[in-house]
Amino acid sequence: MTSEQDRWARAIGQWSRSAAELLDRCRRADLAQLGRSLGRRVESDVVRVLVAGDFKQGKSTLVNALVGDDVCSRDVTVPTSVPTVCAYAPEAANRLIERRERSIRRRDVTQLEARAAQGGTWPDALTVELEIPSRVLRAGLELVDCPPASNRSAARAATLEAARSADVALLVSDAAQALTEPEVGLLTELCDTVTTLLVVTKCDLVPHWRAVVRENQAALERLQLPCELVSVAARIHPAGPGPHDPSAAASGVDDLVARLREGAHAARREALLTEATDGLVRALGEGRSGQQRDLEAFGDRERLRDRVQQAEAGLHRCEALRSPAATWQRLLDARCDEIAMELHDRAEDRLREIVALATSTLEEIDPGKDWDTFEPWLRDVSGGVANDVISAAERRVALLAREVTQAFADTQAHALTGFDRATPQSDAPYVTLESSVEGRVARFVREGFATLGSTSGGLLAFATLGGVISAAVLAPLTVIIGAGLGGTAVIAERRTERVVRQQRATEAVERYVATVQDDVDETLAAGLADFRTRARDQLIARADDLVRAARHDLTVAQTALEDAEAARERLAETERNIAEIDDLLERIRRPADAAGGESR
Amino acid sequence: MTTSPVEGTRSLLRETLARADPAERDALTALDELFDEPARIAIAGMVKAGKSTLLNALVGERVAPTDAGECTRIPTWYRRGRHYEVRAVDRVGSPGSPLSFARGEELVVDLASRDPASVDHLLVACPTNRLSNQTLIDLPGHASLSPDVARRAQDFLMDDEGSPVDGVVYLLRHRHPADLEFLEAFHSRVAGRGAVGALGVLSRADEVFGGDLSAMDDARRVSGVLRGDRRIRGLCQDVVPVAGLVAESAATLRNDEVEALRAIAGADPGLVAFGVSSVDRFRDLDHAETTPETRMRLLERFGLFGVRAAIDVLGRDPTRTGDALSSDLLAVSGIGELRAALDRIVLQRVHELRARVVLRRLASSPSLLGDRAAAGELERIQANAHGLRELEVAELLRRGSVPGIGPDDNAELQRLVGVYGVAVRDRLAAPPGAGRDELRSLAGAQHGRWQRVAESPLAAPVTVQVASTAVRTCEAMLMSDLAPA
Repeated sequence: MTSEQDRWARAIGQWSRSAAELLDRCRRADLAQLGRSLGRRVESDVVRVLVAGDFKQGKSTLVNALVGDDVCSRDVTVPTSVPTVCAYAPEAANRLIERRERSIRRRDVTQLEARAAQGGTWPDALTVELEIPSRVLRAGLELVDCPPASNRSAARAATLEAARSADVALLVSDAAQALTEPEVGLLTELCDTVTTLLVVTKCDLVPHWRAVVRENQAALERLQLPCELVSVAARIHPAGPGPHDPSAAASGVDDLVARLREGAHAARREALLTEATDGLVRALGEGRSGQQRDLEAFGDRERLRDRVQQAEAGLHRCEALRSPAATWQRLLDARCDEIAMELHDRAEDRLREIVALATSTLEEIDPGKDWDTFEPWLRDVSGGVANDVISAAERRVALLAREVTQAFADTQAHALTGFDRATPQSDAPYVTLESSVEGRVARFVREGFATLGSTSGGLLAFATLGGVISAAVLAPLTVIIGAGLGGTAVIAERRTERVVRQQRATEAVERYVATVQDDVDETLAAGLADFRTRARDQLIARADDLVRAARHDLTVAQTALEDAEAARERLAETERNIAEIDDLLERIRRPADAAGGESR
Repeated sequence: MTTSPVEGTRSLLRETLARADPAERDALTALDELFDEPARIAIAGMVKAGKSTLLNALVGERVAPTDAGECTRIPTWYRRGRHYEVRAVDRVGSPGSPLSFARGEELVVDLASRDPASVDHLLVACPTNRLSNQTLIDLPGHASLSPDVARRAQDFLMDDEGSPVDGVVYLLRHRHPADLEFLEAFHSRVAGRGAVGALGVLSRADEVFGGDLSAMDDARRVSGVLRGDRRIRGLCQDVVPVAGLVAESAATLRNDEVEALRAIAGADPGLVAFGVSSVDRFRDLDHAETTPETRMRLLERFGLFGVRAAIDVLGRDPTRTGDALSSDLLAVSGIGELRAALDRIVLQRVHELRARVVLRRLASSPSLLGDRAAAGELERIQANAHGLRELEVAELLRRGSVPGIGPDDNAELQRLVGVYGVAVRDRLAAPPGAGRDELRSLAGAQHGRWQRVAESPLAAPVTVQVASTAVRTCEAMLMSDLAPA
């Protein structure tokens, strides 16, 4: 390392500390963290090694062998799903880096928790950091074990992102077969980003591993990738599970370590310094524009106050959705009654028509003789009425379901209009607020009709009505009419048989029709009651969700206002922060340019 | 005792055939032939997933061309024949034209001047009992997932009327997303178009899990996890690990190999333990009785895992015979579990699957519908064949759109109607060693549960159909296999 580079590195360390302190004051813990890590990377002599590759290629086994300890889970049922950083420390420690609402949190965990987090049990886990008193790490290596980066997954993008902050990348591919197409793709992109080594693993396991190595060498040459190949058998390294030579040379792991140490240094140094400087400038720039936005936002407390009021009103409106006085509930109740009445009338009219028709028919026929044709006719027409009423009921209820959901939706939309998205906001909580409201509206649009669909699941009750009516209602017909006709024999002696039979039959038809009417009314009432309960329960459950969400929005808006109030008092401080950032940026840019000028 | 639905279908088909118009005769004759044919099982997977090795292991000899020539890009059917024969077939059902081939340790086929694109599939006949009840179909491997690959596989599996394939074996790698994507794309195309039994195989299980003696235990644990995985469960009825190379070599074990292994196993234990820790150390082993070439050859045939397993067996029992060693290795390889799973999921049901295809076809046959008695018989068979109804319901369930039946219930119902095997224990997911009383109470519980669903006035008609079939299945179990003594 030249002394020029040394001076530059020290300067970066200095700047990064100032920058981190400043950014902390700007309440941008994330940027401060970035600044610190940039400084640490430049100042320390540590070579950061990224270990990437597809599923089950032996990444974790390799990391374990390099570190000399079982630090990466070897539980075969759980693939690594969170990047794991292994760094040196005199005392072993496990840390978990988690995403919190506004910040990144870092906390000590037990080894067991760290393992679980590696396996993806913590949804908020970003990285697992393991500090290990390992000989190899102490000599200046830091390893990052990446989740499997297969063909088209997000993991691949994450791997490339992580490669940007690494000094060397290892693409791990096992000796079972030559590089696959997705692997070549990843390797090419890695080579564009960082010094990359292709590590062929499992050479202890595959008889023809030399052929695969040759094939891979040929592929590297054909693709003209600036990438060297190393073959290892990590399992027979002293740290691996298999029996091993005392020298451990056979595993190829020590050779790999040596290459990592030397390969990463000289050429990478200059680039690293430039990158770190650029990174600091970017972080400060971002912090500055955040402060600038804050300055503008603090002046706009009125708007924030409005927002709180709107959130309050929204909450009330959401709560109102649950009350029996809400439009949709009134609509539901009124319409159900209306539908019941209307359908009752409809059935009554139609049945009355049938009675009239039956009576006039009975005047012409002798029920004693023509009963065989008359009875099926009567069954048929009254069955038709039942079906007609039922399908009308289905249509009306489906319509009603839509109306009620619409009424609910209107009120809901009204409840949510409070949160307009017109003005851009400066800080995270506002973004959360907006996106959460936006998310809910979108969800409603998507789910609205699904809810409607399941609400009209109540309609299923009607589907069974047909069966109920044909079984329970039409069956007694024969009994009723049969009884009516049975009596005719006695009376027929005194009056004209046929007339009496006709009269009895007419009466029986009327009684039968009345029964049909009663049963239709009853089943309709039951169906409608069922629908009404289901619809109400479901929509109230939705309203409960909304109330909960609105309460949360209100809290967020209130916090934002409080923040703004507090920030106003810090107005001077914010202005000072900006000035200091500008000052630091100025200092960073000057010597960086100077260094660049000298090298030219 | 009435005839079984399968027999009934058969005789109905025969009668219809006797009366059929010339126009229809060919199609019906083809159906009649299909009845006698062994089950067709396709093997699908990525390139180099070990398809050919697994196929050789299933057949019990090295018949699959492992060479990466044109042959592996053409689907190849392996069926039983009186003697070895290879034919190029240009469409399903035609006899095809014979190709010349050489049979050394492997089968080398000469496509001669044939344009691979004009060949629908290669037909390899082998005189082996292993193929007496199944025809294996090696599908071309795919290098990566593309809609085109899924479509071609689907075209292949679905081109005939109904399904020409009764079961599919998918070679999976450990949790690889591309496998899952392929399975899903594939499943969404074939689901509901035939009750095809599907089985996942963790292939090359020995290699993926590090080649230790415990590799297969690890592979079994992973299979258990995959089997329980909600996404996989909907796609495969079972997942089993197989060390394909070990199974293949064990099935074709030669005496010189046994003796070489025995000699190595008898050497100094420390030396052997060190030697089997890596392939290079095994090759360079300080052992005068065997040459490095022999040892490399053993590695290529068995893999490091197979060598370790064989030496482990021979170390403990130096007098073990070649036959005994072969069955030891077969047991370790997991091929037996794969065969059992295939039997449970595909082979036991194959006649019913075929009968169903035939009945569907007959239901639209003019020759049959013209005859009232025959049409009546068709209806009678359809109404009485509970097994066929189960297949119908299995298809509905696999399509996944039965209202009111969640994913867990869906899996349970599929199990009950025999998708995971038609034995009572398989249907009831009974714990191993469950007694008759326990089975009865399990069946009783399922009966009551689905009876309630079937009778619910709010259930949709299709839900009622599914639940009543499950009820009927439980009744059949309680009345026959589980009838009180």
